Amino acid sequence: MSSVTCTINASVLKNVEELRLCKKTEGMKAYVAKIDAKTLEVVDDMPPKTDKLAKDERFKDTTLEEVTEDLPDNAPRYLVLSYRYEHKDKRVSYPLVLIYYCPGTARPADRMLYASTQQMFATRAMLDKVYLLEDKDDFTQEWLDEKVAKFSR
Amino acid sequence: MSITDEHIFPFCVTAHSFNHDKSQVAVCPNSNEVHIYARSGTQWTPLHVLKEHDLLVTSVDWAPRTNRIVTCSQDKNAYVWTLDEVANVWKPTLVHLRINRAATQARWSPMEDKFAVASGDKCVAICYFGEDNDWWVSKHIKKPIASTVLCIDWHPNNVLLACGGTDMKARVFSAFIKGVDQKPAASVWGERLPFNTVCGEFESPSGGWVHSIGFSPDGESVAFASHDSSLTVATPATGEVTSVRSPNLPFKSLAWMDQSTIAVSGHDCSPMIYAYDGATWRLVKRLGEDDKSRRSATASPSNNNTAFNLFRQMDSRNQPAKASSTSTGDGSLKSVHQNTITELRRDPAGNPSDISTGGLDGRLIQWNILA
Repeated sequence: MSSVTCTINASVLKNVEELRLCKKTEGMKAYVAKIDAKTLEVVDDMPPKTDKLAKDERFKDTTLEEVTEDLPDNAPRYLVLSYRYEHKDKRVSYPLVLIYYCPGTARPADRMLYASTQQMFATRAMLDKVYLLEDKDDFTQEWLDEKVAKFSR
Repeated sequence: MSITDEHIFPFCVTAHSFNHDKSQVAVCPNSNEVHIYARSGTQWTPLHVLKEHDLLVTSVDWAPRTNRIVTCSQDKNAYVWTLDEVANVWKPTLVHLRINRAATQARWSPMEDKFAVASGDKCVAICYFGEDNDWWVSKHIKKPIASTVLCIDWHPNNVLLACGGTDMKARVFSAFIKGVDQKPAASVWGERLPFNTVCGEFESPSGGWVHSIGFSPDGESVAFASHDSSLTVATPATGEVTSVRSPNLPFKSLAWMDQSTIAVSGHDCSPMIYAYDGATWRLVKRLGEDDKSRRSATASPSNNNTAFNLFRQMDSRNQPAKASSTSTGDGSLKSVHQNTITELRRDPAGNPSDISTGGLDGRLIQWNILA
């Protein structure tokens, strides 16, 4: 199986770690990574200058709607989310979730690129909760909670 | 009101669109091709044939400033044609519409950076050029459209889109595309409008398929013509929705000439003008029905050739001509068009008194509604 595997930029893994360890709040924190097709590297997809901010400021509280709006319509992305989840037995945890977002209108070449790197990225970033999202419209709180519930006993 | 130009094509004109200065016209001759004619003197001479669609071409729209043509067809495809100046050939680019039924109408937006395609798949596809993909991609407006969309019209702000269709409702949607549009100014239709927001929903008194829809020049009102032979104008700022019932056959096409004048045309074969007198909309005139002598002169190249006229009637109206009260002695209609007017379009240069009509009788007529 000769698939193209990308390298991962160091800052990506650093950001995922910081997201995992940052202060837990009511809101949702999100981090987006994309693949640079030219250099075949997984890089950050963040607005400019945010990497200069202190780590608490970098991951500001956001909402599911805002995160969905920022996702591109025609290109895949790796979305790492941390949010407050209340289990059925009233325990509260803050799961770190990788959403592999791959819309139907993305170029087949891009989809292959992201699909082949996804496994490797999840292992290197130590993210065990990985879910596929194909349609922005499906991305709701209920959908997310349902997926995370499968992991908790 | 007068006719500034009249031409009879040897085929039904199912859709037409002029270029920016009306020196060329793209027509669909009721087939899977689009023909481009150029003006030479008083005649139209064939210039190009655009052959790419597999089934009937349902709509043609020529963008005046960027000089691109969008065509859509029953084969579920749309193409954007750009003119290769060097080779003098129109090159098609496929649009990734992703619809599963026929496309019914296609229209460029006012800024010509995106276009909308109405389809029988209960959706409208808003198409824009995706730089990263290097081809035209589409986003669908689906909810809550329940049936085929027949007609669309863009608001002057390049974001709002009015749609009407066979679910008998006229709606105004937001077609805001991130990356292509700037956030529009707040208007009577709403503010902060993400894609697919319904800004208004209207219907005519007796219901009926909405055949044509259009925003007023300032964008404050929307008018639509439906199959119950009515013309309805809705203004969300005042909340009023006024309808005018007409004793004529249903209209297929409408265009706002200015804030208080709407030109309509349809199965009754004459364009008509509705004007707002401050209180109600009323029919002001029917174009082309008084000048009988001029009309019968141009109806046949050789004057008074009734046999020629008789067979021309059989051709363009698909029935043997009979003398009746609505027609003159030689079996033709009083109106200039001898069959349904399929499309009424405004002057691409924006002149508020020029319209053009194309009909199933093969006539393409340009009118001046004032002179």
